[in-house]
Amino acid sequence: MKRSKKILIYKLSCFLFAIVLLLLPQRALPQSDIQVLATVLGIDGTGGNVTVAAQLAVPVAQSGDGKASTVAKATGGSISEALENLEIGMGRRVNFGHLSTVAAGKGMLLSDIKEFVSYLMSSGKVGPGAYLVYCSHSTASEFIEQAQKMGESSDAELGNFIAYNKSGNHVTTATALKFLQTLHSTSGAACLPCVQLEDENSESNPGDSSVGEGRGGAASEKSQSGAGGLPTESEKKQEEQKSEEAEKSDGSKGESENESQAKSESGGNSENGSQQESGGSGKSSDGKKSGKETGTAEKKKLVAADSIAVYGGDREEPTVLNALATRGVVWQDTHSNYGLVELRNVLIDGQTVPSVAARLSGKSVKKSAKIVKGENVLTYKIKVKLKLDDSHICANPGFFGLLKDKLEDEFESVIRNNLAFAVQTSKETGIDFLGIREWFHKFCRKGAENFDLSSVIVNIETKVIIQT
Amino acid sequence: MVETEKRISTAQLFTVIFILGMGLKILMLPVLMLKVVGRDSVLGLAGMGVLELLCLGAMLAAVMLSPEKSFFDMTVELVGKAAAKIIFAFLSAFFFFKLLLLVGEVRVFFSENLLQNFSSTVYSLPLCGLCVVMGMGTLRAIGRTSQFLFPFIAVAMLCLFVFIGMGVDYSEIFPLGDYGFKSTFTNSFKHSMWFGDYSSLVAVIGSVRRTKHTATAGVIAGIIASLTVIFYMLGLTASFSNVCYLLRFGQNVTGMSHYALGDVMQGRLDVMLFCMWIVSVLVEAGFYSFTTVSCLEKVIPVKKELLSLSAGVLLFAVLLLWQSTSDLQAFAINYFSVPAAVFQIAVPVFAIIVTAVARRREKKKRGKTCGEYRTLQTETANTQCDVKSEGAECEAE
Repeated sequence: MKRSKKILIYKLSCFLFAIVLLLLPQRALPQSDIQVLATVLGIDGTGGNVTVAAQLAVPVAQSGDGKASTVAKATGGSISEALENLEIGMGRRVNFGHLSTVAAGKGMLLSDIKEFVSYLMSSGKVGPGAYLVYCSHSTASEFIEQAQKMGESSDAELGNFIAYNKSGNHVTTATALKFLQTLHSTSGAACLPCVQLEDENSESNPGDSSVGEGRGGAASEKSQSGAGGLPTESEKKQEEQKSEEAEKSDGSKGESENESQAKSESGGNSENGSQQESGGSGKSSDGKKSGKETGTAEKKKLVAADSIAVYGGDREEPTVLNALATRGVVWQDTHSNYGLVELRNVLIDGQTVPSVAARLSGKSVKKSAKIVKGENVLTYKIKVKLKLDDSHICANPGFFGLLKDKLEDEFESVIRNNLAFAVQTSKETGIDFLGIREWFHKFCRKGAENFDLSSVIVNIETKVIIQT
Repeated sequence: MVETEKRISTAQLFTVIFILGMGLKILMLPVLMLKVVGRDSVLGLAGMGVLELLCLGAMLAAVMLSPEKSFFDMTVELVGKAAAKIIFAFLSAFFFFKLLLLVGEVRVFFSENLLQNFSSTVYSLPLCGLCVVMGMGTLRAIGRTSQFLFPFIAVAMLCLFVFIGMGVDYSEIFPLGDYGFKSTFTNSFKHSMWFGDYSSLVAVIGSVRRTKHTATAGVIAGIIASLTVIFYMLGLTASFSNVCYLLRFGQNVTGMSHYALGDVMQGRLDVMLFCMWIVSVLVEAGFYSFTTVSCLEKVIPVKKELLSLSAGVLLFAVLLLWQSTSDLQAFAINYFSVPAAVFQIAVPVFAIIVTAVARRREKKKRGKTCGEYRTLQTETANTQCDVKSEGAECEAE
């Protein structure tokens, strides 16, 4: 083909392409005026009556300002109808491309949450990496409304909170895909982290009042070892002393004690800072004082409750695990490899160390399933690397040498106790939230054939290395 | 004989083979297979991949064996013009359908993920335009384009796969073998249309500047491409093994890497990387278009440019009329699996036969010529200069 002809063809092609560009759909309004971005979605209700609440980022033409956020609610006979009504109510299309969190309201049934999350994922509204949380003390709508108000007054937005928890705290998180994936496994159970909002000035609930658990996020205060293991004799005595003191003392004293107890074995949460600043009513150090003193209702703090909600088994309703079982679940979670862990009132050579905080720098969890003498045996091998957060302990090499071995033994004991309690809870409730049956199904088919959760023998081997 | 300057080098062949082995298979095939075959789709894909590597080996053998002639010329010499035209007509139809499938999947990806409110008809135009331009180009142009783009494709792919590798729990792949060998094989076989990409290497036979490393490089490229596809399949299976019903057809490597990044607050970095990767699919589309037009040229003796334009218009028309890519995929699975499997195996075998026969004939011809030269040499010493050119070849042998 001659060069001139080629050039003519190229010119014609460019002209045609220009025509195509002219035919492109044009919009009179910019995209930001015809759609809103949903960052958090809350779902309440059941099939037939579904309420959705979405925290929306709405670009507002304000000089020197960015975006505003608002919460919109809608109801419908199904989740798709509710979302459609949401858009109709807003008068704009809702873009779910930046949706980071889906919150399930209190009491949501298994069949409903399965249906809702499956719909959101299969329709493409929610990506597989969106976080899923359970509102243990409120409806999802109330939770999002309060969280949105809190977000306006601070930078502690829900999405950032969850994202930080995943990477920086020793807590369990669940994505939409992971939740459904584990729910549809042979274990038939899945966990959701609980979140709640409470007043900054409120007295925290004792929550799960079983003895032996350390305190978790914001819920309860126990003077037990923060690691949550069963209290030792020395700890019990100290607890009794403390409870007497707490009853006599005024709120501020209890407050200062609670500040030291604010760090939980299961990791800090984003409200740690604000909790230390909380004033007011004394918080019982032994958790015996129950009830809640409402502080300033407008000020809320976002907390990761020290519990997880478990779906599965024969139950439609979720089962909320207590702090001890929760910590056991977190210890065997391979995706939670960072965060703060703490021991309290450790007795070493007659000397009591009130608090030893350490940061997880690595964790490896190996499971092996086999049949031993006709019995299903699951063995956990948990290896944890810690770095001491309390540098003053390291300052004295002589003391530290004694302390290091003792601390490692203590941590190992705590991990074993926590996980053993979680296993016990799983057997008692009949919900295989640890995925034991699924592990046998994958790697020991013979054991999975006649599987009985209550008769599985679980061995736990732990190894803690404190790095210096 | 193909001129030296129009041939592709070994490095360019490497990139072409890598792109051919990977492009169509990563786009939608893993999602399709997971939905149809289930968790054992990894095994099915691996099995089909091994078969495809064998076909690649056969094609490379044909490339190395061939004398300096194109596949088309050799076929005409072997079977005659009439039979050759029938063969080329079938080949062009096969490659055209593969092109249609590829372009259809590109369209469904963009319409599901990026351009939901944009008419697919409009952006199909530049896609078909690209196929037309590459169809009328030369093999060397395609080779140089793929060689130029290969580093970007490789880096993007590496980044995407690092994300997937870090964020996925691979224990979810197990247990394997639940569905039985027969069921897995049968259902995997139904996806034969997505394999057999190396059959299009008929277009490069006789057009490669061969070295002693050409065959090795080709095999390595094929193995890397197959491993890439299997690795991605592993990631997808591990993530969705229990919830295959959630998979959407737009879900592919970009969705997986986004999920594996683990933090939706980081934005869509994966989309940027994916935009770099997708040029490999566009190059593959161009290669199929080139092969289709090359086959058509032997059937219909008109100018290549006109043929390429006609093929592009036909492609656009079919895409316009056949709006649903799901229907297209269902058609390929239900009706084209056996013909596709036959093509996948028959084309490399035929290519070897054609090149082996042509090589043998070439050797005979040279032998005859050398014999004549030597006879001439002994008879008349003075006429050596007249048969010098033939003599040089003979001396070389």
